[in-house]
Amino acid sequence: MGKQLVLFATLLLFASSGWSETNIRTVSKNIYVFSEIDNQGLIVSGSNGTVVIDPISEHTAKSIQEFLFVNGKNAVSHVVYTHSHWDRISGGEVFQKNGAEFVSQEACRLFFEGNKNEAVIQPNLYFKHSYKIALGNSNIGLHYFGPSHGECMILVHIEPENIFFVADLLSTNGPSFPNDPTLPYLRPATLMRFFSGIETMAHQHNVNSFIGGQVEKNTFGSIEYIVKQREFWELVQTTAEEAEENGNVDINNFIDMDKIDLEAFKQFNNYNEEDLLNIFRRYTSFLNMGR
Amino acid sequence: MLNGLRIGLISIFLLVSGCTNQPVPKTIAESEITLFGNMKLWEIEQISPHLYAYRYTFYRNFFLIGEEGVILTDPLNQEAASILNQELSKITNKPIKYVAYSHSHWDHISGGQVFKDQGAQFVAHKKCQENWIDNPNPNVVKPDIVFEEEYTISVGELSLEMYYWGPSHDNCRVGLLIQPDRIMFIADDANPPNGLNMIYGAGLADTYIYNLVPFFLEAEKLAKHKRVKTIIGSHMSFEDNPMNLVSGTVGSSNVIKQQRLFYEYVIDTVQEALDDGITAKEVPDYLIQSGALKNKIVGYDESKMRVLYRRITNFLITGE
Repeated sequence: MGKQLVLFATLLLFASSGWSETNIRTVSKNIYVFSEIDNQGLIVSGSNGTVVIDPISEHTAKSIQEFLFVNGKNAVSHVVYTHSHWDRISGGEVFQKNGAEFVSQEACRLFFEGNKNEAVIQPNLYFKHSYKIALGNSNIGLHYFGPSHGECMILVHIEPENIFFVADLLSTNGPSFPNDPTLPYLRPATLMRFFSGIETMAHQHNVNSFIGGQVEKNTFGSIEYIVKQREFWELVQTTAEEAEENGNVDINNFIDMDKIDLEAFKQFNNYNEEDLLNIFRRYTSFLNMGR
Repeated sequence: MLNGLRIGLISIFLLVSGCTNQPVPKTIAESEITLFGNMKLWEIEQISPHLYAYRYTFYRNFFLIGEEGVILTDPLNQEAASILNQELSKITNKPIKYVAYSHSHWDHISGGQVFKDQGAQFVAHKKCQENWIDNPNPNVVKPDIVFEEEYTISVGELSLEMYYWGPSHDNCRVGLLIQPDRIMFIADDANPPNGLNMIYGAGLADTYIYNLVPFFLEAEKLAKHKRVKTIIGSHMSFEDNPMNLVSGTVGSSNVIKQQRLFYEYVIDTVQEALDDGITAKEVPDYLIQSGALKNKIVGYDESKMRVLYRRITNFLITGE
């Protein structure tokens, strides 16, 4: 992806009392990033329709609709949910009223149907492995590699810009410690499939950069960060395995931090020893349980 | 008036006897070495003429010896299963017909090969099988029989009923009902003596929080319908003091309701804090400082509660 994409401009800034701001920025001719507080999603506007990826909230969804209208873009034809988490995908009703299709991966159904939220529009189109949305001059590929961050997180591939959108697990600032070290949604058993799946696709399609789901200093992250982030999780797992083998795990599944070499972890952003203790705790549980 | 008094006294008697009339497990075999204090590394307790509980370290399973053979549950691990196999041969010469898995976690269900070699059929919920395909373990014997909603295995007059009420602690945990004893077992939760005990894994790894309360409501409904009075705990537990470990082999089925209340209390408390405008990041510290649930949770542990509050806050924001 060309460096020119880093040059983006704020097109619209909606702010009103009682609401969080929605910020919408241009990424390329057809792609816009919108954000509210810490979360961000994408608009891909093509000649045959417009796709919104993770609408975030009702307020943001309305801001997007107004933005598209003001700028003479096609109305929203599809809303894509990258995974099932409400804080990213609420507020799509405004698009549903105009006939948009709501797309998500099949495994999200467990949460959408088991734990309903009025603010989240139920998908009317579920897919299992891959799904393609054709917008004329743009294509959006949706790809699932197994549970990773929650049950159903997908990779979004946008063409012809040839960039990925990955909502969680990656930071555009570089390989990092996770925001929440208790790892509430992590699926360690299948996590590596997600990373290797992205890496394989990046290689096959010659993709060089990705956009993340959190507001960060950098809009784009290098594909190399994905490799490094995978290496972070591999390091966590092998360290936890060694601690188990060496008997350095206590009755509450906490690793004795004095007995492991922390140097390799210090290269990752947001290094924090207490966080690492909790990350290991999740992994020792995983090694015991298999889940 | 006298009649009223008589009815009242009978009611009180029934209430008291209902609370205390639990089977008294009798230790029939135990290890020489100890685990903690006087607590042995492993022990086998007899609960009824045909029902036994086997504890290895902090884990427990149970088994039934019927006319036609033996039903085992959760082999735990290779060493535990090997010990159980040896001890079982001292108790009965009946064949091991079935091994029932309570859920998919390896720390409960590894080591069953010694029973497979004797011809036992392994039974699990269908989703457990999928988990083991996703992440295979050579020490986990694959199930021969899988089911989706309910399944019953019998050895003559004794049977084990298995019920699935949706994802809870992992995605395939089932409630087990032992018949004709009318005793239940729910792995990893509902451990006697008290379901309001501080939980072991406060991060609720591999837990489907949204369905925890419905899961326990279904378990309570089954207990009421089948007149269950007793539950077997899958783990050792503690009384008022966290360090006062107790065996917790059997207890009142009321523990199921207490476990449901535990989760309800925590979810409601976090929701109230969010409704009051406390930010997600502030919720754990706010609730710790305000002493919320300190008097309700037995063995309240501040550091664990901080993790639990954080996890529940995330759940209420994301739905997972």
